[in-house]
Amino acid sequence: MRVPYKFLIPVIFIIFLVGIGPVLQSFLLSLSEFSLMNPSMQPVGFHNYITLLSDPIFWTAIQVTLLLVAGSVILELVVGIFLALLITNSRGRARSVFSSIFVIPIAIAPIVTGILWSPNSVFDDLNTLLYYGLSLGAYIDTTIPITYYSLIIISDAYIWAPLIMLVTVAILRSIPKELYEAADVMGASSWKKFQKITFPAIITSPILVVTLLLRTVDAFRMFEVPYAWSFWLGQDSQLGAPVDTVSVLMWKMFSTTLYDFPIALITSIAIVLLSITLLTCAVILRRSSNLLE
Amino acid sequence: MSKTENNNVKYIRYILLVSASLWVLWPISIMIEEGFRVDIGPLFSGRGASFVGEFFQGQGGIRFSTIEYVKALRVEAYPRLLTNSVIIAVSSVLVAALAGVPAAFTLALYKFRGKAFITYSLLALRTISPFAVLLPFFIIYGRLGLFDTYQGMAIVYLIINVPILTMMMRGFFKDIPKEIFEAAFMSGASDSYILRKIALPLALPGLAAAAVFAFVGTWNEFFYALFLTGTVTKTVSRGVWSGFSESIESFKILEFDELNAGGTLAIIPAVILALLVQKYLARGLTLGVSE
Repeated sequence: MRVPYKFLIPVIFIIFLVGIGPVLQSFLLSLSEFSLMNPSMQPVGFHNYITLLSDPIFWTAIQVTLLLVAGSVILELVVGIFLALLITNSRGRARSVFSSIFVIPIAIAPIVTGILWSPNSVFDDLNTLLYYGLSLGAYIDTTIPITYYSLIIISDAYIWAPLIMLVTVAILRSIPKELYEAADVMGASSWKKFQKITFPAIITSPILVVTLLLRTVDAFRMFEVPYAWSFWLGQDSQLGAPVDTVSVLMWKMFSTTLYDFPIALITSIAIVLLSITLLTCAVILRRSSNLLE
Repeated sequence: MSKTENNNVKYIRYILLVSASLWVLWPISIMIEEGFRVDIGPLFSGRGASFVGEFFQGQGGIRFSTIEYVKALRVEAYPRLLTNSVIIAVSSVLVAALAGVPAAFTLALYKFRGKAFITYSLLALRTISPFAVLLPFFIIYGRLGLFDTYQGMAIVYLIINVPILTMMMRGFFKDIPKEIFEAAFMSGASDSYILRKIALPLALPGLAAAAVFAFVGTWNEFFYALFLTGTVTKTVSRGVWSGFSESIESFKILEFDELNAGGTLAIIPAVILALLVQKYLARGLTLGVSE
């Protein structure tokens, strides 16, 4: 069969237009000294990368990002598997109603999730209850690092746990029934069945591994929720603030230094991030061979 | 004995299901409630207590007020943002579908050199850090006058929509039994004929699902909108954040009631549409990697 290459032309054109082209230009920018005030594009080699790697603000942002990525991916894995087990164990109407409820957060804009879990939304009534209602005189202080890091992680898991749930439900459905029947014959308890059949099937599933990889690389560009939090905490104009993920840091470099923002420096951060993305995508593609069939 | 045990298990399961739904619904209901300026504070002391750092922010009352919602809808800010979002999302999804469907057809049915390259590029485009492409867009749009225009935004959103449309449609074409295509090829039909008359009609529900999914993604997108939209093409998610009444985002005032009312209005269409296509959410979100 002749391959209809003409069908591919528009997509290839778009890939170059919005993907490869801009990325190459970003790369060139990152090798030059460029700002809107001084758009000369003097080549400076890897100067920007050296500036960047020797800047503690960058390393702080990397640490914050890694913390939030690890936290949210682990939490959404746990919550997602829990939800999936609940769903697969219920029948009929309950199943469809609850699975519809559980997927709602996927549809909520991440920036709105930043508002949802903000100090003045969820914690407004909760704190009123704690402070006045129960007369404890205490409240949940959302300005302590441990609270706001947890809340950012919770917000992210809030959005993405349903995805893990959907994937896990599909995995559970593909476990052969005979395994459970055999376990029943041997008189295994429900807990034993979970321990020996269900749990290993979920954890060792290549599908789950690939989904987690995709989530991890996605979480690396985490922006909206920490960005919202930089406002809640009054850190919006502070470079290298404690909630600055790499993306938020780049945004702040871009927006707070009006007109003379260090475009070249920002692009070099972006290129560093990009290389992580490209590497992870290569791994994902290798592991999900069905995509190339 | 075993019957009561079974019943107990059933009750525990229901309790867990309901508490898990609370995890999802509780923050949303608080947002809707705060949008109505309701606060349980007055029940106890006459004041609501919100603590942002040392700042005490008493606000709200037990009597609910629709003022924030009315303001959002009546000042025509929300209708305008909604129109902007719809124009941008629909045109971007349309272009993505026109480009993506034939490519998806080819990716689903043929093996060829460069297939890995295209798949990889689409995967990378989906997960790329926006900053890696954004600054060139920012500079070029400034020169070409595409900044804050519908065309400009529709082009930028191809970054997220083309991978979604192509990879989802690839999955839907793959779901069609191979025998159908084999029979068609045997009878000597051309590729475009098979795509238009056989593959596309069979995958039409899938195309609708993919388009809706991409629409929701564009609707919810915040980052590109934050950079590249201004007063003319500001989208819903951007407008919710910067406030309905404010025309240009120069600085941000924290108006929580307004934010909550805006957030509520923004998620209603997205949630409804996403529930319509919930069967395909996993496929869309992972580009079919999870199959």
